Amino acid sequence: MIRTDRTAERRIERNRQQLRPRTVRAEAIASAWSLLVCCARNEMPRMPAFLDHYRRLGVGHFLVVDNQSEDGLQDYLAQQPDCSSWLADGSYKASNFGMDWCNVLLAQYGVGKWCVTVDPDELLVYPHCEERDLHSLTARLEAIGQPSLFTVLLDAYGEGPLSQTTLTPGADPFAVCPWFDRFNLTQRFDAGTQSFWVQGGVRMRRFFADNPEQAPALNKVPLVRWASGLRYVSSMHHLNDTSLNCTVNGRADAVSGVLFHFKYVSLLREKASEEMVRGEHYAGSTEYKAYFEAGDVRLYDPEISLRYAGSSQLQRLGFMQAGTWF
Amino acid sequence: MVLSVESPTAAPGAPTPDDERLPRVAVLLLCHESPAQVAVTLRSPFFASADLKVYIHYDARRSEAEREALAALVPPEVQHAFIAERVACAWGDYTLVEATHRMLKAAIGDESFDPDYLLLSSASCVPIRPLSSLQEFLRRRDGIDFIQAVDVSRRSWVKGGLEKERYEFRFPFNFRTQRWAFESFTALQRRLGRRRQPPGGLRIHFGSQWFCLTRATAGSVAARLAEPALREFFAASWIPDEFAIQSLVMAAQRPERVAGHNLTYYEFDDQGRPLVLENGHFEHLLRQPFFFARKLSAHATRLADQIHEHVASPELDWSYFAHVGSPSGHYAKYLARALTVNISRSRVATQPEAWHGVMGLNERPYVLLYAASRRLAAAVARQMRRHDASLPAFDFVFDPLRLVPAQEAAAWRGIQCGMRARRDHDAAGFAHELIHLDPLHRTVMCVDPATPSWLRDFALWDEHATLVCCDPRGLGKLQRAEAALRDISAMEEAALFEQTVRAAGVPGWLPQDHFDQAQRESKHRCRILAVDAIAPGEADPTLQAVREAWQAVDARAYFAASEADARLRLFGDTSE
Repeated sequence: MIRTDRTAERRIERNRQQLRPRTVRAEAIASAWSLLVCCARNEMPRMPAFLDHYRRLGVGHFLVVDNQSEDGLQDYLAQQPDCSSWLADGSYKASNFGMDWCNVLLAQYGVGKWCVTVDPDELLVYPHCEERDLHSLTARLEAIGQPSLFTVLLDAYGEGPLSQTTLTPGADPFAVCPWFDRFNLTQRFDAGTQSFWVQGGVRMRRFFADNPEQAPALNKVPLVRWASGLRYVSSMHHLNDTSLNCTVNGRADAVSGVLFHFKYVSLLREKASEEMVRGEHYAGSTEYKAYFEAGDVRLYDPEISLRYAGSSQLQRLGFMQAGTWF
Repeated sequence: MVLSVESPTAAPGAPTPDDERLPRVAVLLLCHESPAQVAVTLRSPFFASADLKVYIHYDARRSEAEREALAALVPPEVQHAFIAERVACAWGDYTLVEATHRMLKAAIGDESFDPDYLLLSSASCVPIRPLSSLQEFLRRRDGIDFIQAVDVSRRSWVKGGLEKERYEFRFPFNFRTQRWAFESFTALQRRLGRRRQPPGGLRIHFGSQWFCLTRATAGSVAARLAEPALREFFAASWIPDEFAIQSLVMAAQRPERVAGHNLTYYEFDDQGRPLVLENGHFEHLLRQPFFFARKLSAHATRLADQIHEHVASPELDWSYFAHVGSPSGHYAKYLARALTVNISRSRVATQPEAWHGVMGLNERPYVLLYAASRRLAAAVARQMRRHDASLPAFDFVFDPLRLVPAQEAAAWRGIQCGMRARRDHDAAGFAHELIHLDPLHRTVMCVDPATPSWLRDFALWDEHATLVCCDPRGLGKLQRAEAALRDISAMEEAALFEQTVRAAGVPGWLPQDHFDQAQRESKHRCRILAVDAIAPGEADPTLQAVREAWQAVDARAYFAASEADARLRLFGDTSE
């Protein structure tokens, strides 16, 4: 059931004004079977691999909100026939960390379609994803009456220190950052959102070892069959319809996935310095403060790190499940 | 099961029927999908043969333009004919039988082709064997009709819902679009008790709609479907494609000439949902002793390519002929595991209730070491690590005051002293990770019976836990109390220190007797045993390793020599 929140709706209405269409291919959006919505700021080094990944998964059209990029993102997107873009010059923080802009686009274009909403550093993985694209996955979800996909965010990193983990445009993030923590996940059920508050991974191990309760949430719902009135509440962690927040809970036949997170690259250090000044991120950018203070860290630990070896590995480790999707 | 490998080049002396002509097959193709999707199916080399002709019924809900588009997409090497008068098919009503009837008539009346068998298929069915294999199979089973047909008067076929009512009642309303009228009219007939009888005493048999019939049987079925009384009877019933042709086949053919199964592989899950064939199912399909399979996903293009390539060349092994009609069982096993085995589930976000959290999913056994003397338990764990560094044997990882993965190092097997806050943030998750740390060896941990901890309280009631007491046999209460006090910090653990001293001086249990007391009072679900109760030939390698490590440790050295000695050390006197 959708919960209404007038304050949030008014704020979204206000922030709608900040969205200015740049290259909008309305017909392509309307005829696309599925959409991907994301908000980007100076993410050019990630864009080619990002689009590649989701094109391979069968995404129909990309809707990108550009929050004041200065790296030629607009020109690049204008050349992609399956991309539309908007400029947003307002504050990232005041727009609920970009979520308001995404919500506006989802409400306008996404209703009735399967929509992927992710950050440019997040690549979706799910059972059988090497062989079966989002057409097959969503057909399965519809067959079993599952309207959304619960995922856990899995932080990936390289073997060397951050400064030597460079993501160049076109580089495969899975090759640059093939490692992840095989354990270190904590979870708590939260009755309010009817979902699990998942934390952990390398972030908790390295940056929040002493105050795990402050580690960022790793539960996300990046794939949703969009419906009228639906809205992401805080980042992509929750929706205003709590029945969509954790569709894997209590259902042995449900499918869940993993969002690979390629944040821990050399770009992070520049971003951390910038964000220390901007303060445009969650909780006063404490997360970025931690990154800034940690310096040029090496996240790899031979006892804890595992090299990504495909979706079946993540099922074996219990990070996600195929349910009864044979 | 013994697999006899049959080869197409039959062994010398093997009996071969006189008629060397391989059977000619008419494939009746029911389709409603887009022209492009139907074309994917027809692209199979299976269909490109002089011995085969496809009769295509393209649903009348598709436009004439789409039919023409489809006609243009049929590969030129596939012999085919379109049914000119198309029916708009709807699930549940007679239209599917009507469309099938039209294809039967077209194939039987086609003098240019003259089929021996008529096989019903659809655009979401895909041939998984070369035509030559099907022909050889039909030649060997000469004259058999392949259709599922269950006598409803003897055995039920429908799982839940209407069965005999499907033909005894009339169904003028559509189940999907007029649900209320459908339900009400069914209920009304049930109340009135009006039940129709099949015309001419036809015995109703149920079964899946797919078939492969001999020409003679198909001819009889087609002729009878034209009889007005039968036609009216079936047309007023519900889902007649699951009994009309089945019953007419059984009326036309001797029972022993009907195989009771068809040649198309399909499976359903526990909820009655069909298995959809996707990319990645190629190997699985080859294990199925069938000639067709459904239902092929519209997006499984790689699977379609693989299977089309497979049917392009003759098969070398026909041993599956002996099992045609029986699925391999892999899917059923997969389903059973997914629905009942905990480790097939994600450990994230699936265990809401209860304080035991994700440990509710755990099915892996683990071993806990305890002793009155903490240092003794830790010494046994350390000895295990020394003896075999691959054993995940930990010290007191759940000690509330500190996390000690191993006394000799700040980190062991990725578990670090600094993970204490994380451990307490979600203790069940931490325990689960420890227990699943090593895929080969069981995890061993030390636990202090006197100190409340998540692990101590959980393990007592966990059937997967084995608690091993490392105290040597025959110790007195004071000996154990004195040894325990050596390791308890009077500063950090003042309460426990005091409690232990007090308990030592009066009758009753020591705090260190937590597990022994539970055992005595039968208040536990875990297994509790003394280390010297582990037999020398213990089959469990983990327990065997515990036993060997304990023997290598001088356990007596952790205790006072005698009860009197302990009293002296505890209270400064030896008097009772």
